[in-house]
Amino acid sequence: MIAYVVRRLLGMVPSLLLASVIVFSFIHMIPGDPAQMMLGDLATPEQVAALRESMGLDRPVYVQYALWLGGVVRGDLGNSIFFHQPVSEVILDRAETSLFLAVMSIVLVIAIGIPVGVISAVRHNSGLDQCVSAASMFFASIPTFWLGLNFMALFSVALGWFPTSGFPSVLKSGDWSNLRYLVLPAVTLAAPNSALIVRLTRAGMLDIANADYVRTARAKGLSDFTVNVRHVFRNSLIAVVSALGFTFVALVAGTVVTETVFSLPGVGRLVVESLLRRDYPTIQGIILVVAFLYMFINLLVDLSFALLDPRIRYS
Amino acid sequence: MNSLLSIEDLRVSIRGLFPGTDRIYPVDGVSLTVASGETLGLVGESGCGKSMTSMAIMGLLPRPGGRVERGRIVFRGQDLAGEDMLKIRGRDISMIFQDPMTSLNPVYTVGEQIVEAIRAHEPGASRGETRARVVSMLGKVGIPSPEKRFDAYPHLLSGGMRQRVMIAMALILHPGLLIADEPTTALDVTIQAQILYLMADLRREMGMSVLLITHNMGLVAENADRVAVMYAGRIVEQAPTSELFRAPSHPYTRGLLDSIPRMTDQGALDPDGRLNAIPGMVPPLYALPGGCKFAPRCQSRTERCDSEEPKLFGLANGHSVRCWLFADGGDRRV
Repeated sequence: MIAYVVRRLLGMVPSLLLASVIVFSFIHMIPGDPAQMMLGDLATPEQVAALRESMGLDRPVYVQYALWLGGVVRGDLGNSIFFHQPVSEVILDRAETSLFLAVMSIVLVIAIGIPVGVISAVRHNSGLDQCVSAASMFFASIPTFWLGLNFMALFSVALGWFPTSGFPSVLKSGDWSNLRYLVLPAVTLAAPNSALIVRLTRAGMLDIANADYVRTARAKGLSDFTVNVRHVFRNSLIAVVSALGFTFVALVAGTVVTETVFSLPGVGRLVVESLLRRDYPTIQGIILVVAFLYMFINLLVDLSFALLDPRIRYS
Repeated sequence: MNSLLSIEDLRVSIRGLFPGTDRIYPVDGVSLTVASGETLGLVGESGCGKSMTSMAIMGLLPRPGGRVERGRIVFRGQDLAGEDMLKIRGRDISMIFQDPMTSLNPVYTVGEQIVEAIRAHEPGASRGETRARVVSMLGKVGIPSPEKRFDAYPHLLSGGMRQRVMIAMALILHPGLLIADEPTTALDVTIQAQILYLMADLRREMGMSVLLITHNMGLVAENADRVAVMYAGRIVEQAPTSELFRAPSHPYTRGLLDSIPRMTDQGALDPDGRLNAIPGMVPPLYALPGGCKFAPRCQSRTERCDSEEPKLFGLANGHSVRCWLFADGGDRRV
């Protein structure tokens, strides 16, 4: 088991290298120049050239990559061109929002998606199931910015229950009640993802419901509830857990729209803003961290399979 | 005869495969009895309704869509329609299934799965005592080092061992009736014999009745006291085993027996005997012929067979046949 984890972690290195090469080369293919962006349109070519030289942008791309990689190996992601502070600090700053938001959303997704999916499967083809299916299709299809704006109009503006936008740091202020700023964004993000988990749980359970061992469980005299929970649901968990893993990563890094609607200082917006600013080191840093997070969560999901299904053993 | 289970004129319907299609009747007018301590063999091809009959007894018809339309299932003098089947399943009537590879839940140990059966019926049973009972039962069904196997997951056991686990699970509460639905079909031939011996031993020891569902005539010949042959949802012939094999009467039964390859005394395939398969195919349940359901494949059919369905005619020696050839109680075979 430990040997397996070590092997998997080592296996991430080439993947991360490949990801960094791709990102590095793609970024440098984008037209536009950080030095030009920083100095503005009025700068003389000499000024731009001088700044390029001081930033190292005049050197060949592979040299720049080698220098950057050398820093990464030593734990230094470089300095942000825009913020004039280390990229790791910039990311950590934004990571608080993204992680709180992702955790709150995934908790909602689990709390809503799984029970509703189970009920929908147990009562499949009933009126209730059809209502759930319709609602799932609705929430999976509507754009999050529309949902977010409507939540904001209803719960922040009309009812005044939650703040409209922003997120004052919990860690810096120590004030946990600031999490109320994230409630509406979390619900907005949870809606389409819960809908997905509802469908997946339902489909998984209906699939398992026809298994021979479920018939065996009924033949033992177990109640419907026990059969559904201990035998059907338990075996449909694998598909659900792997979907939850992917969902979580997407919630950490892929929530630009929601962050924009609620003006949250999250990682998703940082990527887009840094792209527009041609803040090369920041973009590279974020992509590397997110790629690692993705692989790491994948590893956790794979390891959880061993807990969920005794036939799966890692060695 | 002291009957443990008696089925009277059972008719089962399930919903058609597609919306708008009519209900179909996989079991139609089946009556049979199983006496205490007896093994009744229920024989027929796939789709003849034998498994559906057993699911009706267990109260496990497919939901939604399956239901008993007519008839009664009486167990120990009680109509099962009025009973709480949760209490009866696993305690009074147990079942083992065809495929032991898929009939056990892969995520629980075999011990846990047998314990579940005890807990369902004896909620107060103590953990230690329950475990001891399961281990002793695992030993009884011939599983080596049962104490260790209790904590094994199904995928670590062979097919034969898993079927033994299924038997242990079915018999842990000493049921009066064991329904064995093709219990050896999925096993290697050598394992088949072991499992059948085991079932016969346990049946004698525990004094239970067995409803042995199979398509294998040889299995029935060796293991059943009486045989009922099913075709297209109906029982077409019923007799004590020796009587049935001595004088198979329904053309379908004769066809089934003729389609078994015969050996000479030297053990070679009989060079003179051709293998006689029954011509034609089992009619689908949504397009059954009007009269005798076997008529289209029958070599002895008459005009009457096409227009009118025969009832079960009683013969001597507890033998009954659903065929016009026996309408007067006599044998008019040509």
